[in-house]
Amino acid sequence: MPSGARILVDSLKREGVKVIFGIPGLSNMQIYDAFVEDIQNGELRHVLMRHEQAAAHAADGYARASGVPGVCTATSGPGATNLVTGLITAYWDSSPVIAITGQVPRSSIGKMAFQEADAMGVFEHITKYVVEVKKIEEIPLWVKNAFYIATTGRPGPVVVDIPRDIFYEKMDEVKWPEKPIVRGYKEFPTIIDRQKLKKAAEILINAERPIILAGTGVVWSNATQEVLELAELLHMPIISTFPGKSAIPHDHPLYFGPMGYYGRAEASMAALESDAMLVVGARFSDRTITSYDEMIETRKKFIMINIDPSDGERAIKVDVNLVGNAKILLKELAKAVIELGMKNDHSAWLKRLKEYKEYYAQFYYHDEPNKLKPWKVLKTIRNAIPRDAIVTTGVGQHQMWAEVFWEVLEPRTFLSSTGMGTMGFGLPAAMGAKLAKPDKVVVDLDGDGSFLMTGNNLATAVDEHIPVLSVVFDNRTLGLVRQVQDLFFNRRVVGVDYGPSPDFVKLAEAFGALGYNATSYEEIEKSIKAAIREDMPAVIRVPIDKDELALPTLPPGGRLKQVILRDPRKGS
Amino acid sequence: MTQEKVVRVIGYYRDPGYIERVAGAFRKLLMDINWIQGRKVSDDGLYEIYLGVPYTNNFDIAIQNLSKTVDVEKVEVLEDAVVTTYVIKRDGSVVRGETFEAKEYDIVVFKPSFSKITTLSWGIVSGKNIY
Repeated sequence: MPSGARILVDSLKREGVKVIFGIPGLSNMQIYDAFVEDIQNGELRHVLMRHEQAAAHAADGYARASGVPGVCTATSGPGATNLVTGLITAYWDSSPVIAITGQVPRSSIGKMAFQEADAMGVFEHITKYVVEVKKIEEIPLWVKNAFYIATTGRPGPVVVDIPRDIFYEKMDEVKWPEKPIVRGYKEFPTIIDRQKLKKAAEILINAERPIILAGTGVVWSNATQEVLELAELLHMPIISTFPGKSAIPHDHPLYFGPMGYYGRAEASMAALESDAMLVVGARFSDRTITSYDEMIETRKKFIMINIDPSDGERAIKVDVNLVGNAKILLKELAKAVIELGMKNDHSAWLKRLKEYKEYYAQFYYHDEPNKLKPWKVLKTIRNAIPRDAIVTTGVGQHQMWAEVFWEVLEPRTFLSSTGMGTMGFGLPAAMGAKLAKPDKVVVDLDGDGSFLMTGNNLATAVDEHIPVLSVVFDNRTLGLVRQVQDLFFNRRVVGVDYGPSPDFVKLAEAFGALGYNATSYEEIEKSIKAAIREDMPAVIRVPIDKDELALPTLPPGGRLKQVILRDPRKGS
Repeated sequence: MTQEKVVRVIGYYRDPGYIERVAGAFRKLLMDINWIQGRKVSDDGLYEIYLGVPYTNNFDIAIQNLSKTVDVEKVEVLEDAVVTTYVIKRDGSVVRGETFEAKEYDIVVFKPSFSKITTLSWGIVSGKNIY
């Protein structure tokens, strides 16, 4: 007669789970006891993280790299609450993560028991769903339901909270559900509306300056090829949101970069000057469209392809709202375009955008003697790692530099916390990505502030032999906050500067990882190649000048046209 | 005077978290709830909630979000609702009256009368006239 814990493990295995990131404690150790043999025979791998936030980030990185849900587990109370930041990060970026949290026994719930936290109350507004299992019979169905909810519609994290006394109970016969049963939940439909498709095709064909804006949904629906084919068919440019950067190979001649608050100026200008925009798998986020009025004033036509029907009815009125899976709808749209036939030659439009690209390049690629320039550091890293290497980032100036300068060459190889902007995402997400794609090189582009938030998980990377490389852009400050204080708070810089602690090389070595202090581009390249050769976790510390700015940027609440390209502190 | 919108939410109750999430859809958009009444409709957990919500610019977003909340089957906006207030006195008598007429331990029931419904369910919007 299997126990509740055993049933849980079998339920997870039935969903294809191979890796669980977590930390055991009083309320979930029964799960660990149940999967001892699964680990010994290699059917499951457990990765003991050093903080539950990192467990959630690792599961998130696993999901983003692989396309299948990542799983994490934590005990009750502080274990569960430590998952909060990691799970809301996944929620805001529509990433499917399953979190199994232990809970105090049912007889103790609500009585301020030891290590009790109201998991339902904590998670219900920061995840896609949270369910408290009430009896052992519910485990198989709710695990199946959790995976179903997490992976359908707009993907997102789901928490399954299980009182630990249920883990000890036993069941005579387990009824394994064939299908999920979730009342009060529907998958968003994919609606092939021929009239709307025809209208959308007409808009694109008749437009003189059409453009595609690719978002995260292109990644989750694996629709990169369809975006490229449509763009090539119509000979039209592609830009992306920041997370949508992961969808489009940057060496494609029709791709002009990410637009938005810290995006590339030419991409934002292209967005503004277009007369028809096909938005695929993106919502009108305030980081992408920084001023809705500015976009509405362009009077352009909007076509939206989104899994979520109501995303097309938000701040900006959409002319054609195509609801459903991007991959399917793009194929149908391409057919509609072919049926109608091309009208306009967009060569002049593309030429204009190339001119913009060349024009703005003069602002991006400054070199200075005796200083490592972020754009050049990123270029050096890009040249040192394979095309299909996966890169994660923390949050901060380094992330913004990555947005502008990191060349994504394959889909699903750029993982960043773009919605919630969670510092500390980089290293554990890289670990998760490495376990999802063990044959790929995985690099965490991080900041000194961001890295230290979850850097203790370097111990896990070493112990578990997860050879990720962390490149720490070390400017000894919370650079992005400093930048805003410097530029927009009258240079009243306060509370952001770090001192000399720590020495990142010694820190890495203390964890048993490789540590490099790379003070030249050559040393960066050498360190990366050495670390890859050694196949060990490594930290490469790269000194960056504290005064370096993440540009382009906008003033607070600014419009895309107000882009700041030069350091305003140096005068014009 | 701020217009009050009347909303009916049909969903599946597994625990009181369901009610928290319905209310949370408005809280998260800085909206208020003037009144809320609900009950379990069936043994398998079908739950009906009526709410009187002061209209703000965030109303449409709140309703859309609510209609995409797991456990919520559908959200109905009773477009032309006129709300009649009934006061059930302590002695069980029912009078048509205003809320200020209710004393302690009297129950106030808000009864909307309407003919036009807009239904939102997982992003799909449909409308109908019920007469």
